[in-house]
Amino acid sequence: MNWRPLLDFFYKLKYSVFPVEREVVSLSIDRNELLVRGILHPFFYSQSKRKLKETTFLPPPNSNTVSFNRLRYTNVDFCKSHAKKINFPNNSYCGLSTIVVQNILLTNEQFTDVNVKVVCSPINELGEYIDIKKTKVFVDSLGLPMHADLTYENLVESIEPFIPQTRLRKIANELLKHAIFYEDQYPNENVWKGEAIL
Amino acid sequence: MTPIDIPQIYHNNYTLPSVRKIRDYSHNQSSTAKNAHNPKHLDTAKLILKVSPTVKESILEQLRNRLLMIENLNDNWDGYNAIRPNKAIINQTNSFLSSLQFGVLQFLNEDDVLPTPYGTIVTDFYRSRNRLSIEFGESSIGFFSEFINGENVESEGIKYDKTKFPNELETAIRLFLQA
Repeated sequence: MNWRPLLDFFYKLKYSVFPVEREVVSLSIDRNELLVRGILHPFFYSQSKRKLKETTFLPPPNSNTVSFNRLRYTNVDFCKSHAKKINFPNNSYCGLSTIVVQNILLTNEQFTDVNVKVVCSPINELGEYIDIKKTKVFVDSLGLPMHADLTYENLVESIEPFIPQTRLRKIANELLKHAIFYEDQYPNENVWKGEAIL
Repeated sequence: MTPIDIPQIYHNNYTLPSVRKIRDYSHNQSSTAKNAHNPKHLDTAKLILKVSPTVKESILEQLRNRLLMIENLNDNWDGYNAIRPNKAIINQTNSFLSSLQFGVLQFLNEDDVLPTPYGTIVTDFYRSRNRLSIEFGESSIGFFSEFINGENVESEGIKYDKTKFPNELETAIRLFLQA
């Protein structure tokens, strides 16, 4: 069943009865913005070395983007609960990693033939990208209005499965040097109780 | 496949049968170099050379368990549409690891055998602060290094199958051991 029309109706009703000023998600991403990504153990994080692995910054096949949440338009508790939804027996949530947009863009100075950039890419409640040219996105829109993609432009349009990507991994490795990992001491709790992420 | 021949120095430094202790010890490269010329250690080394096949098997067993864990992943194992490595890649990695001598294998921790979201497997060898990262695809491998001396090697898309060990990779491993 398609719930979208019904949800849209209630949303419009809510805001017509209780008019409030809704915060719009900016389509341009500030260089100082902090991006957050959920981290899974053991494949994103090495317990023995207590450090993140470059897997954190590698895209899935048939894509050249990596998903993040913009902390400016959400909060750490949401990032945690979102990351916790990904919980497999052999790969479970263990913390959050952050990286500043500016540091991602720095990579372009080192790898001049590649254009690593961050684009605003909000996702609706059905898991589809929202057409930001046609639709205004608000902080309280359903889905992931705070979603952003790190894109490896000029390197690969779409990664072929099962083929080594040495150059991509080298760039991911550089990005890793700017990322900060926050281990969650209370992974079973629903809210973030660890060190403040700013 | 011919096992990679390792300079004698990498066989001579171990006095403890525990894999973990051996790894911790081997990561201290300054003591490694010093002990290689220490007659007491050389005496002990004769004994240790006899037990190292067992130690190698212990390391291999851990690494195979890790590969088994990777093999048992489902698609979308990261929640972002990742795919799991296929059987051919698991086998390629396994046969590569089995072909290595203890002198190389000791620098690979099970935590550093990782699947990528696009279905390859990465093995990261660490020796002190030197790193050699090798990625296995279905019919090719790629690698890059981060050596302290700055003399790095890099390669992408060398054809590889279980019966043929690429010269480029062999050279990279030698440089890794000498870095």
